[in-house]
Amino acid sequence: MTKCEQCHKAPATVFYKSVVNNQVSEKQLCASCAEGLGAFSLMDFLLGPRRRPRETRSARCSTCGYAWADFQKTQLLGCPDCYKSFGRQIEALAPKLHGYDRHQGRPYAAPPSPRERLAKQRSELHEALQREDFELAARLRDEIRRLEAELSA
Amino acid sequence: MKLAHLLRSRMEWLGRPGSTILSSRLRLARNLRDRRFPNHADEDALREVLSDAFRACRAQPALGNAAYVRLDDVTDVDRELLMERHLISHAQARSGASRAVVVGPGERQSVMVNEEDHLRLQSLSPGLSVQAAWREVKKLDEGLGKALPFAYDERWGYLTACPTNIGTALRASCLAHLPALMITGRVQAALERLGASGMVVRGLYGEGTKVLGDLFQVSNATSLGPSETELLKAVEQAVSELIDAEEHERGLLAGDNRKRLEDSAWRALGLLTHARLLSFEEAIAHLSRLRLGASLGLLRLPLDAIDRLFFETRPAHLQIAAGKALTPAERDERRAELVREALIKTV
Repeated sequence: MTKCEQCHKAPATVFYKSVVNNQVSEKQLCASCAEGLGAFSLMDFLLGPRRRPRETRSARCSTCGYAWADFQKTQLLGCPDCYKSFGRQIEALAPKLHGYDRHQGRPYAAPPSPRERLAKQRSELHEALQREDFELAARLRDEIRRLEAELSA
Repeated sequence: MKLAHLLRSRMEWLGRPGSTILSSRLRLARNLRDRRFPNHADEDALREVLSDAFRACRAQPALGNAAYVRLDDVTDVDRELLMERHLISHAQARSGASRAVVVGPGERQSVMVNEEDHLRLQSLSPGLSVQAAWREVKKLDEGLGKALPFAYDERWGYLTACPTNIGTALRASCLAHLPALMITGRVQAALERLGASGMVVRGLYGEGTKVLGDLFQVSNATSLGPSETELLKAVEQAVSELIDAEEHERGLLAGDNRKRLEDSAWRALGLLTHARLLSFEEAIAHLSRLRLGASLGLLRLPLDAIDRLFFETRPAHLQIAAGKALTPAERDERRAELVREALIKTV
């Protein structure tokens, strides 16, 4: 009998095949290693779907308080941070929905917030002073004053 | 009825008269970084998103002299008109404060605010032109993305309220007219091939298995994983094969069944130019036969007039043109009148 590819100890009783990111992978695993992968549960197979462990059911987003249970009802999440709070669940869900497990399209960088701009200008001012570029320093000082006024408004 | 001026606008995205693909649409879903998604946000939060979105839109040259439409400021019929023009969705049309749509010139570009996601950027263009629509919407996306901090993750791409839309958050759709495939019954096989190429298809009008006017909407099913360019190529490829299939069937019909096709086109014209009452279902069924006949040269008609009629015969369009609400019976009468006028001068 073939041994499990993962632990090399127990006999392989589960033949697991998956297609993710256009790659097909096949593994021969024992029941407990297959469960560890999150893809197969001998208990589910034998008993049918049953109540999820309390831990998953009461999982909540740390930013907006949305519950995973809410998502299961509405198929919608509460806020962008839910993708972090429910990272494990999303990791399991994404390949099922899209057949891929990561974004490989155009990247994006958000514009800096006023606070971030301020921090950047301050460090540039510091460098300008070190280089004794006082003209640039003066312009940066004016820009910083403007940003500070904007932020306190 | 505040959107009457919209009726006069030319629907610039409706074109390639007679071709199998009437129009293409590119949609990008975008959300703001530190805000709850619309379904979980309160009124104040939605209002803030709306004001940020409007501010950012006003700074976009791509939107030009756009119309800023707050959906709770307009009537039910106005909202239906926007739906009929594919400018807002069903979900968007239901009443709710702080929901809006920004409509650019000629309806080529538009931005939905606070629908399922904070922003849905949309670009419409005539015929099979997903690349052109993509170039346009990309400009709008880049402009808005510099003015607003989008929710984006290196692993999951653009973050959306529904995980089915993450990644590129891109949906490319084409509006296809498939009368020949419907007549020969080979449409089912064509739709299955589309499904196998990663597309989803639904009838544009009608519910369930009934497809009105032989009109279908084809779009990519997933958005995470492939790049934007790869997704677009896949849609173009699948739609090109669909066009080939339809044109093949049209060729067969024009060969073996020419007289029968000609007859059905002329009967459609006869009915449409003389009926006094027309339901939407009946009108669109005959318009479809008319369009098929005209595109095969079996009768001479201005194809762009036919394409416009697919939209002008819709209920909200009729009511806005009439300047008042109409009962279903009144609509049937108006519709017949509209169609007669549009076609009779061309016969």
